[in-house]
Amino acid sequence: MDKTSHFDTEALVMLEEIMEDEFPDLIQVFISDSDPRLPALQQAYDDQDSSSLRELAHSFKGASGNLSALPLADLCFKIEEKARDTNLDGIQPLITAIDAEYKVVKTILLSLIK
Amino acid sequence: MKILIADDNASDRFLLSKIISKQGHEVIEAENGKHAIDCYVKEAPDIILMDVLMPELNGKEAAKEIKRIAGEDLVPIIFLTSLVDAQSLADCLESGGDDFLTKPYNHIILKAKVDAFVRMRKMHATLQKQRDTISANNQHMLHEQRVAKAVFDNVAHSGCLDAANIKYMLSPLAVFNGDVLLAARKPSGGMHVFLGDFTGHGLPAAIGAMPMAEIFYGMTAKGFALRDILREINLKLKSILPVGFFCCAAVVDLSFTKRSISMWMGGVPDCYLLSQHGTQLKSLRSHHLPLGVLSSDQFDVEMTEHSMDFEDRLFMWSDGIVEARDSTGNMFGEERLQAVFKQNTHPDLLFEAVKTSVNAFVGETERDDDTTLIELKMVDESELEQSELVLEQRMTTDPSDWKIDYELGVDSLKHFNPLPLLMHIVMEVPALRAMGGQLFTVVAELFSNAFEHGVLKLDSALKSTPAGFVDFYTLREKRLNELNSGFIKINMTHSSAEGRSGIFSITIEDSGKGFDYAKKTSENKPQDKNKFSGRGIPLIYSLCHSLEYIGCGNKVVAEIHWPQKNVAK
Repeated sequence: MDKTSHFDTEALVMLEEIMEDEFPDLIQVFISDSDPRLPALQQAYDDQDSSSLRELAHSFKGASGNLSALPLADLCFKIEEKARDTNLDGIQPLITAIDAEYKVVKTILLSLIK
Repeated sequence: MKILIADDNASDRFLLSKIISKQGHEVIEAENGKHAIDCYVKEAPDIILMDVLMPELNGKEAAKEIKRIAGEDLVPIIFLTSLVDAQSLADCLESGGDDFLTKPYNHIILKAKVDAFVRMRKMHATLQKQRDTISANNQHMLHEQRVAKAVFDNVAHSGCLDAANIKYMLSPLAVFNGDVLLAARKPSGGMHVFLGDFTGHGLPAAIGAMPMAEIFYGMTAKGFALRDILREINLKLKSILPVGFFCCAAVVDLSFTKRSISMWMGGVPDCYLLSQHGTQLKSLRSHHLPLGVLSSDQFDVEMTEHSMDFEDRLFMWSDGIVEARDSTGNMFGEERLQAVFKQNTHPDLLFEAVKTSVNAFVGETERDDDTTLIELKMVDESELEQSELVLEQRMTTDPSDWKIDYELGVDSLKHFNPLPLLMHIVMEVPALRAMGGQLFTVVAELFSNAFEHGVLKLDSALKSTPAGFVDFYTLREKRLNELNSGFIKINMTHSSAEGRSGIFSITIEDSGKGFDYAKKTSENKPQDKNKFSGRGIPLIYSLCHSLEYIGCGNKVVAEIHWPQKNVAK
């Protein structure tokens, strides 16, 4: 797996430096925080609840951004924007893309802390 | 510093908390807006980092509430946001945030911002502390000033300013007044009035008024002449006031019997003398430097005399009246003041007219000096309340039986006026204090007889014509300068029967050759009103229980009994 197409690697290194021993903890917190977000996003879309969609995407965007997973953050941002405009067209493909991207990100992160 | 991090995102919170604690701060975490408010109340953090979008209560609402609770305290709130458009960021600040930080966090910028707010918070705390100190000091100072003012008012009291012939107005700019208004009845009848204006205003200006008032009231009560009082005040102020500080003054010695005033003016605006039922207005100009400027040997006590009929009025003011400013900075000025007097207002209403006119001119403008105004009217002294001499209360019992022998030689006779000293001794007896005016007249008259006719050998017949009066005083001056021998012996005794009655007796003997008192006494029996002199004996007779000349007439004994059966007016 190519880290560079899923992360801002420079930022990721810096993050590791900042967190020192607690870097693995950060990864764990991120994963345990993010895992429930995917079913939640799907549920919100199924309910056509644009405000929930927006909040969830916004929060997910912030968290993944801080872990320098920028492509994931970008996908979240797209949902957030659409949800803000209550335009739910094309959301499903985005959720599917996020699902796939998150899986990759999670795998890479976990590999870092083995 | 204690820093509160409020973010619903666990990983964001975790990361931020790590960065902040690595910078050496204590971290408290909250996971929504409500929780953030609770943490703020419980932990009182110094700085708050808060996510904008949070469940329960969003960041903006929580910030508003925290700012409300904080009140005057500065609690910097930095919003955390992944929103990047300008409007969203501006919204953060408008809703009460102090700054924002965009996600993903750049830890260098984060550190710089936190440091900046730590500085700001410290500065604000210092500022608040200093403000509180200033406020406390100010309270303390005002309290001290009020206490000091009470003491000040007791010393520089208004004396007899409430007398029926006086109208006055004092408008101090601050708690303390740099303008001083003093008035006291003289033991010999008449009145001393003092209007002073110290350099500046407030406490520094007022403080010099205390010794001045002490001297003014003390010396007036003891019968000192106004010239002597002025000399003493000038000397005192010269020695206590710093260079550049002085007291402008208009001082009046008002005689109800002679119906005239004697004035000394130093550095004050012109005073107005209104006579002939308000038809004639005369400006009296200051000719001296203010008090406290010149040394004693340069100080000039020359006074100007002005006659005043009944109902004539003297108006005096501090420069605060003439220099009162309106909203555009123009001064009230001499012309406007004179215009008030030219309006043919009834003399009784003039005082109010001046006040009204100045107030109308100044309007709502903030005043910049103390303003003082006084009107002095010539009346018959009987219209005034019974004279109340201000005498200090004493713990010791009063002297009742005593005797004093006092002899003055040539040098003392030339340069020293013993009357205040003698009166001081006499005034220690309460019953005699009440008869102060009368006693002063007797002692003063007998002493001046002994001095002028006895020691200086001047013929009282000279004073029987107005022209002779001048000759008399020229000759007096000449003899006084040439005097090389002579004396006056004074003996005073007082005895009292258990404090219910008493006898005061004064004997004055001079070095002169006496006079034919038998002849004088018979001459004086039918009172001749046009007669200018005659050793003042008829007057003394009326005031004393007995008056007796002894030997060749160079020795006289006067006795005054109290309580008096019928007081001669």
